[in-house]
Amino acid sequence: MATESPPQHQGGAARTENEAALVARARSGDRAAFGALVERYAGSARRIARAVLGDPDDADDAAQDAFLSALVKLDQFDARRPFGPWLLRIVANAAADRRRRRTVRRAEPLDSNVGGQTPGPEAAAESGELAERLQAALAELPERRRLAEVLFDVEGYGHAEIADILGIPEGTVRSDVFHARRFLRERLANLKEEW
Amino acid sequence: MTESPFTRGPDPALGAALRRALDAGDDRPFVARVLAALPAPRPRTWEVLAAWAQRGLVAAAAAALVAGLMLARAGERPAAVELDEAFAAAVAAGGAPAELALNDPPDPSVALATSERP
Repeated sequence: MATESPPQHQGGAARTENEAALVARARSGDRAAFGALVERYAGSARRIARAVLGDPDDADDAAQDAFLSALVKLDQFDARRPFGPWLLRIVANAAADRRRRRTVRRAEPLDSNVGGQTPGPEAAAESGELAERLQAALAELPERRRLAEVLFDVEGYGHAEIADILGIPEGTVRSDVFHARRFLRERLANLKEEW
Repeated sequence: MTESPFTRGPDPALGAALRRALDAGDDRPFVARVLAALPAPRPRTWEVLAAWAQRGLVAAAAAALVAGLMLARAGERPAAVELDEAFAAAVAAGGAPAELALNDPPDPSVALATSERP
């Protein structure tokens, strides 16, 4: 089972202070400190990447790319700001890049048969009906709306932080979350008792 | 799911369901994989320079020694050869006393006889 990390905006000043110290140590080359940051954000990064890509393996590859990219860019991080939104912006971009490349690959005739659309036995068995319905419904949402909803209701970020992560106005985030919720609730209406 | 879609706060029920749908399992193997993929730590600048300096000094000293030896040998040989050749040529042409080509100093009487030659 995945380690349950609390929503990133929770935890208060102590968490932020602790995180700033970890970032400072990671910047100076302390691999253990960077490892602690990876451990702290692994769950969120994997979920955000999966919200974009759908496929868990692709999502893990994208999340890994994002962590390595974050390490390289750590000198550019403004230490006065929270680390989570900065990192998740990198994750969302890495996942979107991978999705674009995947789209190009699948458009080529030779690659169209590789790793086709049919889910493997593991994927079919891993989730219950609700999870499968949710994944299918998420896939129908526009990417930005999907990310806004996951960042808000799953990761616990506020509208302003999500606006910062996605690089869009706060009002757009509110609208995206509202429409995403309405869409998901409609799709899951007949499974209401399972909630 | 009891909250209105217009609610401003997070929807815990929807959030929990989405989390279950998106969770990919244990994070520990993933964390280990990321840490294994990290590039080797970069040494500090002064450590690199110190290592270079040590090797550089040894290499420079060796190069200077070799170059000095080569220059010394190259500077000596041509002069010795030119002098010998000059003597040999002079003797062969008869333009210089043969005594000059001898290794030992000539006998004074021979030198005097040479000077009295008409």
